Amino acid sequence: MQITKNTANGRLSMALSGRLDTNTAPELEEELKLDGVNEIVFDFAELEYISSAGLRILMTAQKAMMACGGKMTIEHPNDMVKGVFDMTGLSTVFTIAP
Amino acid sequence: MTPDSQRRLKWRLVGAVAIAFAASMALTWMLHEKMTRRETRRLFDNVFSDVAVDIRERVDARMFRQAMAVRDKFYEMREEPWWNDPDESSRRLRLLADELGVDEICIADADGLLSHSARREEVGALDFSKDKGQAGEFASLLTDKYELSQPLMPNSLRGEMVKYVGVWIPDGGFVQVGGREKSVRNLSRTALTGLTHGWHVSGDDGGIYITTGNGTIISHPVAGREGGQWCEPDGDNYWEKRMIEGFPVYIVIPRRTAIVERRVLVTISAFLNGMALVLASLLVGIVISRYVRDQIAVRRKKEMAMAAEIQESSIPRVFPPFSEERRMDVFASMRTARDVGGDFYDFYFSGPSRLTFLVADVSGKSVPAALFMMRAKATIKGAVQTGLPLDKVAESANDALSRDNDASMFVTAWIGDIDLTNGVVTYVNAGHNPPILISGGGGTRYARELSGLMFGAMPGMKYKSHTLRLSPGDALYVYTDGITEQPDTNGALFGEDRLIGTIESILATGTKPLERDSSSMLGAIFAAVIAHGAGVEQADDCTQLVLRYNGDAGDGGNPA
Repeated sequence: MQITKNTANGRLSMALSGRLDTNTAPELEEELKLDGVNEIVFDFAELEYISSAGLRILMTAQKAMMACGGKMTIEHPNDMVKGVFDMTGLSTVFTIAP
Repeated sequence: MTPDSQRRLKWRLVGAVAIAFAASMALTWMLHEKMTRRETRRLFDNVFSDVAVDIRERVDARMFRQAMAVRDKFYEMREEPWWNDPDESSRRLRLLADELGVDEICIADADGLLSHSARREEVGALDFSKDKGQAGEFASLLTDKYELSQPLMPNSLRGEMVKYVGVWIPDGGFVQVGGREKSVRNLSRTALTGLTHGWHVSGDDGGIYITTGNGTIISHPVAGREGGQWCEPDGDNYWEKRMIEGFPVYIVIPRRTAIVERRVLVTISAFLNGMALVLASLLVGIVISRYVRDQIAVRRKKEMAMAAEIQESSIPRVFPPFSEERRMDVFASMRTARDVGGDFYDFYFSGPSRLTFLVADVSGKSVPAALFMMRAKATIKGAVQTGLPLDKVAESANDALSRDNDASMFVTAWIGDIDLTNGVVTYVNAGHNPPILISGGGGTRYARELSGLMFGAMPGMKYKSHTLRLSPGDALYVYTDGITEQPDTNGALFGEDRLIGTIESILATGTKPLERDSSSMLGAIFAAVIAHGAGVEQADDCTQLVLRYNGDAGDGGNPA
C-alpha cells in the first residue's frame, strides 16, 4: 500500500493505493496523525481492497472528527470498497463522495 | 525450562567458552610470535653492534700494521734522490702497496697536502685540511691524533668503497693506507678466525658466523668448525646477515630458544586475559539472550495455544448438538488463520421452539481480537436472553459493545432465530456478509438486505430485522469474510460469485447441505477456498455455519 498525504490549515488529505488490510493497516494508523486536524479527506480512487482492520482505522478517525466537530469524507471508492461500506452499514455513517 | 532446552543452553555455553578460549589462544600465539620477532630483531641489533666492534678492532689492527710499515719505509725513502720526482716515487709506492697487500698509499705533508701517492694522478690533487668529506677526517692527524681508522666507505676523490687508516708522522704529515673490500678481507681474515667461538646468543644454541666473500666460514660458534661452507638456515631458526668491514656476518638462533622479556610476556598475558574475558562475556551474553528469547517465544506459543483452546472451547463443538431435535440440523466449523482468531459462531435455544444462531467476525487479529470476541459473544447472548425482539437485541448489544471501547474494536454479526414450528427465520445483519439460502428443491441465492452498522462502532444505532421462510428441506449458509476474501497468488479474491458457484457444484454432485452424520459441504467449501489460495497464506479466519430446517415433523418435508 502507498500513502500520499498532505496537511494544510487543519485539513488532512490522504490518497491511498493498493490494499488496506491487516498487514498494511498499521502503516496507515502510523501516518494518521490527527492533532489539530478538523477535516479529513480520503481519496480511495486507487484503493483496491479494504479489510476489517482498515475499517477500524476509518471508524476511529470518524469518531475523532465527530468528537471535535470536524468532518471526514471518503472520495472515489471503487465498487469493492463501496460494497464493503454497504455491507457493514458504514455507508450510513461515513460521508462518501462518488 | 525443559530438560532439552537446558541441555542446549549448556552446550551453547560450553561452545561459547571454547570459542573464547580458542580465540585467545590464537591471539596469544600470534602476539607472541610478533613480539618474539621484535625482541629477536632487537637482540640481533645489539649482538651485531658488539661483534662489529670486535671485528673492527682486529681489522684496524692489521691495517695499522701496514700503515706503520709504510711509515718505516717512508723514513728511508724521503732520503732518496728520486723522492721528489712524482713519477718515480709513485712507481715505488705502487710496488710497496702490492707488497703489503693494500690498494692505496698516500703521504700528506705537514700542511695536509697529498704530496706522495701510489697513484700518480692524485699527487697534489687533494688537500686533506680543506676536504669536508671522508678525507677531511684525516686532517686531525696533523694536529691532535696519532692514528685514525675509518670503516669501508666511499672515498672523497673517486667515490669508491675503500677502508682507510692513517698514522701520524711525528715531524709533520701523515701516512695513509687504503684497501678495497677484497684487500681488507685478505689482510685480516686470519685475525678473525675463531673470534666468535663460544659466543652464545640467546641460550646455548644461537651463534655468530663470520664468512668470506665466497661463503667460507672463518669464525664458527663451535671451535674447529672453520673452513666449512655457509648455507642458509632452515625455517626453524631466526637469522640475519649484515656486512661488517667487508665480511658477511650471520647471527642464527633457533626459534625454540628465542626469548621474550618477562615484562613483554606479562603485558601480553594481561592483554589476552582481558580480551578473553570480554569475548567470553560477550559470547555468553549472546547465548543467554538468545536462550531467553527462545524461551519467551516458546512460552508465548504455549500461551497462545492455550488461549486458542479456551476460545475454541467457548463455542459449541459437539455435532449434532441436540440429539433429540429432529426439526432442524445445524453444523458449523471454524478454521483460524493464526493462533487465536476473532471469528465465532454460536447457537442456542431461546425458546421451546426457537433456535438462535449467529456468525460473527471481530476486527483485528490475535489476543485483542480474541478478548473482544469473548466479550461480544457474552454480550449478544445476554441480550438474546432478555427475550426482546431481535432488532432490540441488536441495538442493546451494539450499545453495550460501543461503550468503553477505547480500542475501537468492532464486530460484524449475522444473528438469526428460527421458529421451528413454521421455518420462519427472523434476522438482523450488523455489517456482516449476506448468507446464502439453499433451497431443498434446488437453487441458491444470497439473502441480501440493507445492513445495519457493525457492533461496537458507534452507540445509538438502529437495526432493522428481516424475515425469510425456510421450507422443510431448505438450508441457510452463514459465513465470514475469510471465505470470500481469500486471495490467490494474483491477489484475486475468492468472492461471492465463486462461493455460490462452488456451493452449486457441490450440491450437483448429490452432496446434501447437511447430513446428520457428516459435514461434507462445509469441508468441501473450505477445501475450495484453500485450493483458490494455494501458495498464499490463509488470509483470515474462515467460519461457516449451515442450518437445515426439517419441518415441524422433522421429516425434511418428505413424510414417509
